[in-house]
Amino acid sequence: MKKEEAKIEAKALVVLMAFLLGVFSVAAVAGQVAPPQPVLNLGAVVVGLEAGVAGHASPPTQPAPEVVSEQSEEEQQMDYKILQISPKHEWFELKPGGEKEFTVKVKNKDEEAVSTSPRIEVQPYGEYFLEEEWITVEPGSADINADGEQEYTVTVKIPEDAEIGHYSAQIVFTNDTMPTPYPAPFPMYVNSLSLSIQVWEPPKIVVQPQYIHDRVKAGQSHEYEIQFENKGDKAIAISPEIGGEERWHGPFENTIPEGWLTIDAPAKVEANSKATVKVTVNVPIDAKGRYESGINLNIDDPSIERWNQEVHIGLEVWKQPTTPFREGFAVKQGDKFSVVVTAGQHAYDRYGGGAEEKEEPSFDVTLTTPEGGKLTSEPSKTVKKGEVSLGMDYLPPWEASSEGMYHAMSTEYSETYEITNATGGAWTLDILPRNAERFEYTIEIGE
Amino acid sequence: MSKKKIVAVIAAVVVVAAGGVYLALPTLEHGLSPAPDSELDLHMNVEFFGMGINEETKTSIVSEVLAEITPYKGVKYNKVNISATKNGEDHDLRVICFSDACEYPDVYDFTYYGASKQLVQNRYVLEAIPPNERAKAISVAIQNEDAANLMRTNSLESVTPTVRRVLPETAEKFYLPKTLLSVTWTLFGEYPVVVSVLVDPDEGKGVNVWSNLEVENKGGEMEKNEW
Repeated sequence: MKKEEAKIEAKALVVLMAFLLGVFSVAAVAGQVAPPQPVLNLGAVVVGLEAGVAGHASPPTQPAPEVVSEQSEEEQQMDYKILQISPKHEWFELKPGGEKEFTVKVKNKDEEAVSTSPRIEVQPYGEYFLEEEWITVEPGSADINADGEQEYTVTVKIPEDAEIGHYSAQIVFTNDTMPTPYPAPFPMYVNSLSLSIQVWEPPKIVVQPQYIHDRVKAGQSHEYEIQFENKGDKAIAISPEIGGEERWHGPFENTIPEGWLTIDAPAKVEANSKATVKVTVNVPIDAKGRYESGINLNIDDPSIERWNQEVHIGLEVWKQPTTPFREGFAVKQGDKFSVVVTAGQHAYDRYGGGAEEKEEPSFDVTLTTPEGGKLTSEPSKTVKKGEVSLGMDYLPPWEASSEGMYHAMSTEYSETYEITNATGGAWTLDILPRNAERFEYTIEIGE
Repeated sequence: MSKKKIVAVIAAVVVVAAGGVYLALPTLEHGLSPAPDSELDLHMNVEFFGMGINEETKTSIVSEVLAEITPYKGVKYNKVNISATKNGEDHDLRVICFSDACEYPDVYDFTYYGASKQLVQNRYVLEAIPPNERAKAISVAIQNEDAANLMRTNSLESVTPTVRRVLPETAEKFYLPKTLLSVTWTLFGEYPVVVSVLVDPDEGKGVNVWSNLEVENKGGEMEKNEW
């Protein structure tokens, strides 16, 4: 009996353990397959993104140790001294061999003294780099007390053999750098002065003109001269060629085809002498409109800026109209009428007693009677009307001394044709203009 | 020395001095020459136009005018025309100075005040500049980036600029008290466009740029006209 009881007890214990194991297993499985909580998951993604931007994967509620570490580093970086530097930027021009001195005032607005030891930092961008030995800063170091000010004298000496161009550097007063959220290729010095120097020299060669503008006739050849004067002691090579649009940006209505242009140029301009480049333009008979092109002079003189190496050519191919402008009008029998044709000409090239006299406008006027008869009489009156300025409205301030002098601004030419006792009916007016870009007409009927 | 001798010596000095002044004056109407210390050519031709002006006043005007006018460096005036218009006791003068080496003349307007015999310069346009200096100034002006941009955007490239001398007293207000050149492009029309570059001919550089498109607003800041 005791054996049976013991067996029963053992069975009951096994069943109990199996039950308990089953319960725990179900609970465990249930916990594993529990459905995802969308809100929690989204939150996890957002946190993950934020952490990614910050460079950390830990949620903000439980910051990772390295975040704490970087924040403290940033705080450390923010702990720099800011000095008031005047000027903060300095720009000037110097010739090779030239020297310039300027003063920089540095104020310490902080409550603690700051040690400064100015030095030159050349950042590897820009056209040319200022060499350290070209610049001296005095004093070489200084402690600036709280609310104190220190003046530094900066002297820039450009060597004789320096290349023409734009140079830059920084004068750095302390080692403090600007913190950046990402690694910067070059340190950004907080307490620094940007120095830019244009090393230049007067061009040794003078070119005139740099713009050729003309109104030409189709089917004709036109020759232009570009004058060079070399004021230097050495010959300067030139090699003019068609092209070059550094300065004169298109698009143009028409580019002058290369076949139209012939350039006759010497290979060099001798020292202290002049030379002429001849440009011949052959305009085809079928050309019309405005044509533009450039000539790259290829002057071997570094003092000449790139865009001044060019001569621009602008040609307006002009065809004198052969068909007159026509307008009809009606008059009553025995009426008197007049036709006044007017064309204006602005001073342009003639301004200031200028060089080129333009041909005066004129008109071929024909009146056709109702019967078809053509009247080509001479004008009964011609008028030349001028506009003269005393310079009050357009002179630059440094030419104010010429205010009150007379400056021809524009001239207007008009011709009047009069008909008395006209035949009643439809008349026709034909006007063929010459040397005029535009004209006006007035038909006045009656007294 | 007796009184007569003293008087005779004084008279002799006066005659010599008067003769000297007379000979120091230019020629043509007067048969005179310019003062030797001026930059004026000894063979300069001076013509005087004016009605009802006596010889003494004429001589005085010519002398005063020649002392006031100075050509551009290296230039000599070959001909000076003085036109005088009587205005009561005073005379308004238009003086045009020509040089064989220059395409354009220098033009001055003066008033000669008869009572004080004082010559006052009213205005001038000085364009007697040698062609090579003129070309150089234009070339320098075009190299100015601001001016080049203004010219390009306002289609001034085809306009022939004027080149005028700016005297030191005016130049001082804008740069330094030295002779400068003003290179000016003017495009006439309903809204004229003017761009001017002040050029230092010795340094070969533009020292100031002005355009009528830049107007000063109330705050003193420069801004572009919205034409």
